[in-house]
Amino acid sequence: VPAATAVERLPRPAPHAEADVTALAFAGDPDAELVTRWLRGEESAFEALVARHHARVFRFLVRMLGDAQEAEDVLQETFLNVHRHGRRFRGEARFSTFLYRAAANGALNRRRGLGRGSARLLRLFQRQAVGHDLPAAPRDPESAAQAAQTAELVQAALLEIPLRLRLPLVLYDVEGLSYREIADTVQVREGTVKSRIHRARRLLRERLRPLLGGSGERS
Amino acid sequence: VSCAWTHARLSPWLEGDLDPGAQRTLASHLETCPGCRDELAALRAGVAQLHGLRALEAPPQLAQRVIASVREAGSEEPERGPFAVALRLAVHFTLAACVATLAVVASHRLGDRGGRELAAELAAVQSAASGRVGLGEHFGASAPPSEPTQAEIDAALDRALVDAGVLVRGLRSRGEPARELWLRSLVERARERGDAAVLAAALRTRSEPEADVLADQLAARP
Repeated sequence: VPAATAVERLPRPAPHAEADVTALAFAGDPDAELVTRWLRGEESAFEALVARHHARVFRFLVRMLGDAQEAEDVLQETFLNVHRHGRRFRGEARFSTFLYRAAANGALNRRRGLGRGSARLLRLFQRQAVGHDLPAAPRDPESAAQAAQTAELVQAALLEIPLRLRLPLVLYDVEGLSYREIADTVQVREGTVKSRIHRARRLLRERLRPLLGGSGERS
Repeated sequence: VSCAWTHARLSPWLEGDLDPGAQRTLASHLETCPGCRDELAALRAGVAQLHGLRALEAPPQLAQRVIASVREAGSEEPERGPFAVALRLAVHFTLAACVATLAVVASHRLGDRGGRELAAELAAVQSAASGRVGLGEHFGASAPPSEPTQAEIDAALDRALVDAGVLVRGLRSRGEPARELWLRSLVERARERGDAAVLAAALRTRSEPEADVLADQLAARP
């Protein structure tokens, strides 16, 4: 029996994939035409889907895993899995949701970033403390180099957030998905998505206290 | 209201997720509390930093590399014949039957001594999964498992705990009640040892709500 993960496995195969995919058009999925052509056997349509979505999924994976090479590996696995099992896609959710779900499964299976963020974060804050040029507050004008360093700091703090909270946070605040889309991707209730995002933001805010300032918790 | 109450609701407030009553309470607190206004500003700045993470370009030729790997995999994909499928099923069935028999016999012989049963199962699955010894060889082909000594139990757990991969395979093979027993003991032991790899392995086997509970335990690890 394969392991259950925080994200459910790909949907079960449909007996009549082509008929089911017609539902895509009604759902307003912008990928409906390409997906339909791919499921009819046009490989070039799948390649067009890769071209359309790879950059966004890559960014999502980098933010989840904190490592570009690892993100590329998972991206490859994601598209390979979708290509191999994609005929199970039934158009219940958008193709992009299906893709994010597969990528999230890949990222969760890696389970990397556990404990790695804290070392990076500590190092970065130490550099800031000894006078290196990280900005003291986000409102300060930032050079490109400073912005990159700030992004590195935020990324390190992100890796500190538990994966089940990091996943909806990245999908919401970085990828800009709606609560509904995230609920479809992670396959939990919308209320759970909201509470996880809010918890994740608080954790992130705590970890970025040296960067963001603030008063801390009072009673 | 307290500042802690307010801090907990700042993010929902930003997203319009609060009910009208809580919104009013929070807004009036913010008017009188500079500390909470600072906190709100910091939270907003943090969210803005997350939005800033959208600026990330994919490496050049990434799409081409993905497409090439999909084409390559497509051309190499082996056809799985009926014999291969039957063989896989037979192996799975045999392993499942062995483990089930083992569990029943161990349970019968050891009564409610859960730790010993767990150790015996762990040792068996570890041995089988790592390919060093089969289940039959480990416990005798048809004889029930002998009762392990405390030293054997400790050694089996120690061996299993250093090999997260084996644990994952073992846990995946379990039925729900036995898996619970395993997981409880494993999580406790791994926490005692501060073993993040084993905790992560345990997490990988869980469904969504269970993963949440285990993740909280992991987060609470000193």
